[in-house]
Amino acid sequence: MKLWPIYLFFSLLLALSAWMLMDTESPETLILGDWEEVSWKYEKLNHDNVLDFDIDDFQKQEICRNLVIHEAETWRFGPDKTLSFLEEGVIKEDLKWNIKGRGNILELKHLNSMVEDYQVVGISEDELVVQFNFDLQVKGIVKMTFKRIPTKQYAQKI
Amino acid sequence: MLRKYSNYRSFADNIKLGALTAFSAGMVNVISVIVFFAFTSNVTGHYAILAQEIAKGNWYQGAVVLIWIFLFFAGNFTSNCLIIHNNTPTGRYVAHAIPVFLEMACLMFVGIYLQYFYTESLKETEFLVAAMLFAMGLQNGLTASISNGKVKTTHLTGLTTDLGIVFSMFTKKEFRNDKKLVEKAQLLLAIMFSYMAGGIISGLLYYKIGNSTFIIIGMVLSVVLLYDYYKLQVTKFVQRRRMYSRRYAISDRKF
Repeated sequence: MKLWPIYLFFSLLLALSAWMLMDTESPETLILGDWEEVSWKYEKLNHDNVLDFDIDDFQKQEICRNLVIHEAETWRFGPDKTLSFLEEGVIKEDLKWNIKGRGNILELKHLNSMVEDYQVVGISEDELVVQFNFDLQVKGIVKMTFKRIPTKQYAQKI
Repeated sequence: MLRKYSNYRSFADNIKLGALTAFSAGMVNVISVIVFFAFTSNVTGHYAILAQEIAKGNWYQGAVVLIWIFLFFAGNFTSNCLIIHNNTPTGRYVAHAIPVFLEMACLMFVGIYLQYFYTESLKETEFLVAAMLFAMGLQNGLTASISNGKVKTTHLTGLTTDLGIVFSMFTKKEFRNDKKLVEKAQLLLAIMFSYMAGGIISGLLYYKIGNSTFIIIGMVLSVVLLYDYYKLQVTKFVQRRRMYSRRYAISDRKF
């Protein structure tokens, strides 16, 4: 039996993976910059009587009270691994951030050493989608969607 | 534990090897989930994730997972290569000990790196997970190869399947009295409980002693490594004693 086609296939696969790792921007680089919150939605909920999966401001406040994240307009991921929450251009709080796993976990470290992790469901040049589990009155998964704020636009805004 | 090969291994050899290596695999897997949010002792989940990432078009993450799977494969490959190319009665122990030694070196490297150099960057995380997967591949390749596939300690999918089959066979009286089958069930249960115990202890230890948990893993692997070395030394000592006493007996007869 000829083995060379198998060796060739796997060698090409590995070379392709290595090239992809070098050529594609890693989630750690993609996340840098300013992101504006676009929507908060329930992704899953273990409650049957829910008509609307959108999360209103009151529910958002309730959820945020138990988390390190804030209700902020803008999240700024700095290259020094600092995450700043901004509202109308003013920094409300600073945290430390890390990307773990295969680039699918966003770990946030509060200054009082409280740690929370969020799942990065999707990240691209324009959009960031983050999910987290919550257990408040009802159990479920919240999906947060962010839109990238181009640097120039943000500078003009503030 | 490490000296004997294939069918020459006794039930006791397999159970000692299985329990100790499963304990270390459980420890490694839990610690990697805590620190890196990634499993390192099994790759079934990684195959599913690879398919999912490809389907989503997340090429970067897909490439990372593919390389991780390859590292586990490379560990198994290296281990078995060392074993089959040194399968001589004199070099067998060394051939079987080298994969354990390499595994220890990989895990100690991860522990030291985490303690002194880790800046929590994604590149470092990916690299360290790869090193742990390579280490687990080495271990799994070694145990499976020298035990003729009876001992696989880094993942429990096959083991749970075997347990289900064995216990279903125990529903018939003739199989309940089968010594080999009973021993197989004991071996599988020993591996399962050791893996679980390793995981629980590692989880508890990590929050107490942090990265020093890797030293405990190293100590468990040292037992695997040194147990047979000690036995070999004892055997050599006994053989030497017998040889000397025979020589003295012959020389006494001459005079």
